Amino acid sequence: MGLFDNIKNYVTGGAAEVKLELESATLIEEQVLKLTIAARPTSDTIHAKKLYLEVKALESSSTKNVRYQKDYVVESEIQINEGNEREWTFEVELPPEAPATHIGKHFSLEWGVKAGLDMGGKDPDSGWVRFVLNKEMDYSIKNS
Amino acid sequence: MGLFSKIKNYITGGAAEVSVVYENPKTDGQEPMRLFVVANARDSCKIKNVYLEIRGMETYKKRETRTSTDSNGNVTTTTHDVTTHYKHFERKMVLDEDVQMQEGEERKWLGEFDHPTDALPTYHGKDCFMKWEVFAGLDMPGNDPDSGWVEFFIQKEMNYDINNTNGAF
Repeated sequence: MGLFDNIKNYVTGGAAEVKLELESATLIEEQVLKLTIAARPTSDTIHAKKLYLEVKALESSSTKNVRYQKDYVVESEIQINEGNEREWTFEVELPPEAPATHIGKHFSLEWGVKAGLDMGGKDPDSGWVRFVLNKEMDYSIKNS
Repeated sequence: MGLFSKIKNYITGGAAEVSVVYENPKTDGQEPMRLFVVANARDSCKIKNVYLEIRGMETYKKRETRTSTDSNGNVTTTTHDVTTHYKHFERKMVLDEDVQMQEGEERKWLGEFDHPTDALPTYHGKDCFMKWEVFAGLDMPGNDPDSGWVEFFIQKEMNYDINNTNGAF
């Protein structure tokens, strides 16, 4: 790979392709998100400080408010050789206070998860993968 | 009670104290909601009717753009996120009519109502809320004595799938 390609990958995060798949995109009461992450270099061997996962619940109208966020390190000091692919399975247990998905007319509370490789420049990542948390919420507790 | 107190109560709605007592403020939205409207008269009251208002209301932020022109003709455009409300559900019920209460008397009325089948559950967030509330009032000359809006909570598990989400990310 030439110098210009390396610079391009540094800027665009194009050094690797990262995919994230959920065992189920809908969680019902059970609050464990099971997922698989796959990563492969797009050309040369890659080195990453870590493979991380971000889980977020976002309240969205004209403003965006993070209602829950947690980051996980899946693995540190990763090398994937040119032409190879690596795969990880991971489980995220959401806490009892995690808010349920809510789809109103003019606002929503939605969940997303993203995997990324911590590398120099822009991190290659999977993009946000949405999932749904269906559960009963008790908002009366905060008011009592 | 003196004339001035009567006038004050006429203006402030202080002739009676009105409150709402839920049998259970939490519901799954399937069973009817039951509550009592309680009125304590501080003065003799002639009440046209005892009413109950029910609402399911969404509160959210809406971006508004305002353009202003100063005396020199310079146009400035600013954007603000404004708290906005949208009513999903609204209903008014009359629980009783032509009621006479004496000073010191307490009266109770039972209120019972069903929720719409597609009622959204309660949500309390940072800028956004979905609240279900009732408001009880005594229709009297002058300002009506009332309970103010009192929240109850619809707690139910929704059946969303990923196609219901609208891409907040």
